[in-house]
Amino acid sequence: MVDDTILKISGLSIDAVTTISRKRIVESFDLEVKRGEIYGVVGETGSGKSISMMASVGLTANGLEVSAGTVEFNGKAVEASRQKVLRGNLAAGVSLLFQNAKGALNPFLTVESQIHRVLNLQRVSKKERSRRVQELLVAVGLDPDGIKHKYAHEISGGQAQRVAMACSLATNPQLLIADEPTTALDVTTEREVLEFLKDLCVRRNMAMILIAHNLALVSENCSRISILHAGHVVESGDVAEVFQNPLHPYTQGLLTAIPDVDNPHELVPLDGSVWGGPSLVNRCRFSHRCSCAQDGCNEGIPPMVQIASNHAVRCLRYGGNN
Amino acid sequence: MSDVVLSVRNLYKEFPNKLNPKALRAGVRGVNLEVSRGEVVGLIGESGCGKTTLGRCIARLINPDSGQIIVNGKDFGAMSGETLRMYRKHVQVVFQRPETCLNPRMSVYQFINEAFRNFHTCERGGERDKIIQFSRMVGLKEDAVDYYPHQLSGGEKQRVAIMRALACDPSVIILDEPTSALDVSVQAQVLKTLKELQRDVQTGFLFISHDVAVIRYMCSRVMVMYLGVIVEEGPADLVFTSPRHPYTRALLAAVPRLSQVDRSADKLRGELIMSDVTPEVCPLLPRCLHAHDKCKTRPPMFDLEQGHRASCWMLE
Amino acid sequence: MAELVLENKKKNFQYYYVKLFAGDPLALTGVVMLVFLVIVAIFGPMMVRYDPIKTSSEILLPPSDQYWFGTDQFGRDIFSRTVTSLQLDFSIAVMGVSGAIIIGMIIGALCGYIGGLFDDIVMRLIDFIQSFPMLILAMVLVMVMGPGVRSVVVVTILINIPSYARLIRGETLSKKRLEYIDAARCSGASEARILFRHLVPNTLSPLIVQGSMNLAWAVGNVAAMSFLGVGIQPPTPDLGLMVSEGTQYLAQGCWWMSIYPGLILAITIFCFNLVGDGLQDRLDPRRARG
Repeated sequence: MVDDTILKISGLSIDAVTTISRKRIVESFDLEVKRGEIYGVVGETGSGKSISMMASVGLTANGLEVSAGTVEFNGKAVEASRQKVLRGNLAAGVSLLFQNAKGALNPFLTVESQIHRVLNLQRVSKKERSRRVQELLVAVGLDPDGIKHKYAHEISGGQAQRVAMACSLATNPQLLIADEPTTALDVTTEREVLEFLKDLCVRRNMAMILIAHNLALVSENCSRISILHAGHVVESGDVAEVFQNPLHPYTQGLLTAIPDVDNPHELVPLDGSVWGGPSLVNRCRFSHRCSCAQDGCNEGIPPMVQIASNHAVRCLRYGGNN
Repeated sequence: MSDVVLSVRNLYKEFPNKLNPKALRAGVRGVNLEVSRGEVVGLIGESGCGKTTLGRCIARLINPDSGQIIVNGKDFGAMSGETLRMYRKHVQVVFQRPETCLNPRMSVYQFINEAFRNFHTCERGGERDKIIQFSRMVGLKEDAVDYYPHQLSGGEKQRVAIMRALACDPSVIILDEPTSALDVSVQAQVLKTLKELQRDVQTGFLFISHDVAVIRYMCSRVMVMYLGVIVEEGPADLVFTSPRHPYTRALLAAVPRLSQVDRSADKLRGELIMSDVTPEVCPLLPRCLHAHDKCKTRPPMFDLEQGHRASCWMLE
Repeated sequence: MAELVLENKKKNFQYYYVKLFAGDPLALTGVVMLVFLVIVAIFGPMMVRYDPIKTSSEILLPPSDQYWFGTDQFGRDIFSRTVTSLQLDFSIAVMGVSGAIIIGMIIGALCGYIGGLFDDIVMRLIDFIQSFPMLILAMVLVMVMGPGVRSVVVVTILINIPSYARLIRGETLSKKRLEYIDAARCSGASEARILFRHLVPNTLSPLIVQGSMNLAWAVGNVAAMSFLGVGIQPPTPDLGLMVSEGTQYLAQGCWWMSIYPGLILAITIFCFNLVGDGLQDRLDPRRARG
């Protein structure tokens, strides 16, 4: 049977290390993405969604350290050392897309030179490179001759994001990790860009991990999701299932706290804040904000419980001992 | 005496484009709006539509090129010098970014006391009590009154900004994307606070945002802005359930939703590029799928029902 | 604040060392030595054994237990003169730099805030001052005012006004459009109050680094001007003056007359520089915050 899992992260834990302390920022992060699927990783600021995904491709920031867990790309384990992982992954076909598109582009290079440089890494002949640049620009929906010679400050936000996409696609990745790619764009542009990405994924059989904080966005564009809170995955599964039947108190709280454009309902904000409680070590990190917390919630990390084949939740209400 | 606290007529403010003098200039072009006591009016628009410029003009933080700004019956737009400074009390602003809306070198107390000091909205000696009263109204813990901004979270800073606006005892408060920089859960807390506040305080609110869902939650009346002009306005329920202007329709269609709703293909072509438009034409001309010859002249506002109006030739 | 801390390493010697020194032993050395010099400068002149100005017959004596740094051509104890001079030099440097900061700050704030023609004219005047070589300016002022302490202070202030003016002007320009300034305006503050009460206090952080580096220069400047004869006049002791007078006796083998004052001068300036560097490293906003 062909294993169609392209990325598998198991038990990833990431610590922030200084000379005098070690803080566990992300704990027991599990993720499995299949070829060609669009997976959403959702959370608020500080939930660890970006850190986890960046760490899995070897891009840990200074001061952060992977303390546990394994990452497998295409069935092969990924090494922990930073440099090796970056190179290895690029060759293996992972590409990144970031939020600040104009910031991701070199202000001194024209669009054409920018993509040329990326192709350079693949040791492609100059003539072949020019052809690929044309091809890529068309693939992302831009008019090549109109935009080739422009600089980053001369194009709009949506166009810049597409150029960044072209750079990412240049390596023919099998997996695209997009970290809030449309947060800085207008709603109308956002829709276009995402529909485009979805289309690309289908045409190239490329998997995409969409990191976002907007639940509605993720529900429209992803097939499966993981929801993060304070470094723990609290719920995961098929998008339709999770949103129609939210199990974790955090997910339920989020859904009532978000205004709905079709249904203006009374907002019920979540209590407290992530950092408002006592020590978060070795316990459920939501219990200090939870209306139904029990004693057991403070005595160890609740395990992820598989409720159905397409739905899992990390909460003692649904079973599992510590 | 009418209940209208803010009345803006034919406001113009344009920023010249040095690179391309013929292109449409960023800014505000002939906007009319009214806010009554106790009403929350929403202004929706995406980046570049001029909504922030409009807000700052109304507050006289920048000066409009032409047009009238009437606050509480007096011509605020024509004031200057000391008269202007003292009349500012009536028009307050809550800004967007929590990191820069508070003075890093002033405690919450000192920051808010500035308003008491200048506008005499509190009797001497009673400042601390009044500030504590405000902090209860906005849901900020009492100890925070002596904190400095770096000791506060984003949501707390935004609440302090709201308290400062309240301390001036204004007639109208302009909120320019007050929750856009906040996390979802914090946003819910601040929005709920604002809604309750608005019920208690009876000040007029002008709520500016690009987030359509937030506007739907907060506002009773809505105006949609595009490239410096108002393209549609009316009671929130009407505008949201039956939008008539192609831009409003496209905007509402583009908003991501949790429930998988099948939406008709209300779309726009391409992106907002200012140089494609000139002042005489309908601003949506390059992107509108229904554009035709008549659109080369800007359409006027057509009255629909119950105060619902939109500016599109298809409604003639 | 909720804690995520898994383990707090033992708060041992290494912990405190790192925290205190912040990994910058050089800066700390500078601070310690500077504090020592300042204490000497403040209390020294009261405690020295010999009157720094009074002459005696014990001329040109090498360093000994009685005269730690030896005596000069008038029999005056060089150590006492050095200590007294430190006090004078520090006072002049501090007065000069403070004066420059206050005046430069006011000019810079007004230029940055008002802008327009006012800014253009004043900044061109500042450019004009700055384009004078320091020595020429010093000489001109001395011709007008006569040599002495007053001239040195005035020269120090004038030469340093431009850099502070520019610094504060830059900070004012970058901060005057921030939202809290508009909030102050909405709160009814007058423009003057907005500038001096709300804006200027937020522009002052680069002053600490600039000021400390400036003090190093100022101490050197006092010595240089005195060395050239346009600064502090004899018999008032000054390190630069002492070096200059001492060179005449170098050929005779009286090395202690120039070397000791020169060494103390160099060490003082070095300490100021170390402290300034250390402050710059710590306060530079680009350094990664923990």
